[in-house]
Amino acid sequence: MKTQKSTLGFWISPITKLLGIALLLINSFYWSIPEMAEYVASAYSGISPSHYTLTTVTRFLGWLITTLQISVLTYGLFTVANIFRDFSKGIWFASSFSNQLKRFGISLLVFSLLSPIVQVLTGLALTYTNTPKTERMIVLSFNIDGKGATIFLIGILLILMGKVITEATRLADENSQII
Amino acid sequence: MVSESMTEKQIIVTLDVMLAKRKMRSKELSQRIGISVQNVSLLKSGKVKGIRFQTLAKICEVLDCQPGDIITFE
Repeated sequence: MKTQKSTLGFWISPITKLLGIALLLINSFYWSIPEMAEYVASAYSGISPSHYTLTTVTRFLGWLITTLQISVLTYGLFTVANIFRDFSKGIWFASSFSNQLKRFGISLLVFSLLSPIVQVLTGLALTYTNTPKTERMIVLSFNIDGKGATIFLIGILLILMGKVITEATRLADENSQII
Repeated sequence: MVSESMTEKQIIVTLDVMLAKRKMRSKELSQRIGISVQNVSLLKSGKVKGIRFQTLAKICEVLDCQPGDIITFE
């Protein structure tokens, strides 16, 4: 199906990709500066800065773990970029659209589910160099905050929407072959 | 159990035969029934999943024939 409104998709697609890359760069930037790394480390691990000492190794581990989680979101944003790219080409009601929507939903779901794992791993990475070994910490907390729950629910919603659109495109394809 | 002869039978579109009998071109038919020439071509070649009763009725009216003159089961 073709549409003339391609300008929107033409511009949003690269902007979305840039946003995805920017997320990774911002994360790297935060971890590269000790003062900012301390703030990010506390936010991710839920451990007070007094319980660990940030070294190059702990910062690298923290960056690596958080980058893994953010990569999932970047992947999701790249999927959204592909949706807009297709939209600019006039392809918007096709099976590829529903698949991309499902992939974005899954990436949001995985991103939100990774949060507690990232918290535990970041906590471990930050306190890994602590001496004595008894001061190494595993922080486990299962709190349902509004932001995390919203991302989780939106992820589920997008997956369901993707399934509905898959069925709708199948019906539309079938109808287009009936004269 | 479906017999072999049953599975081999299929719907055959004989619209081209009827058009030849009526000495009518696909373009004229498409204009008179209000569908595109491409769809008439697809219909003639049988490369469609189905035909609406509405379209069938229009074709029968224009060509002055019965549905059985356009589609057969062989």
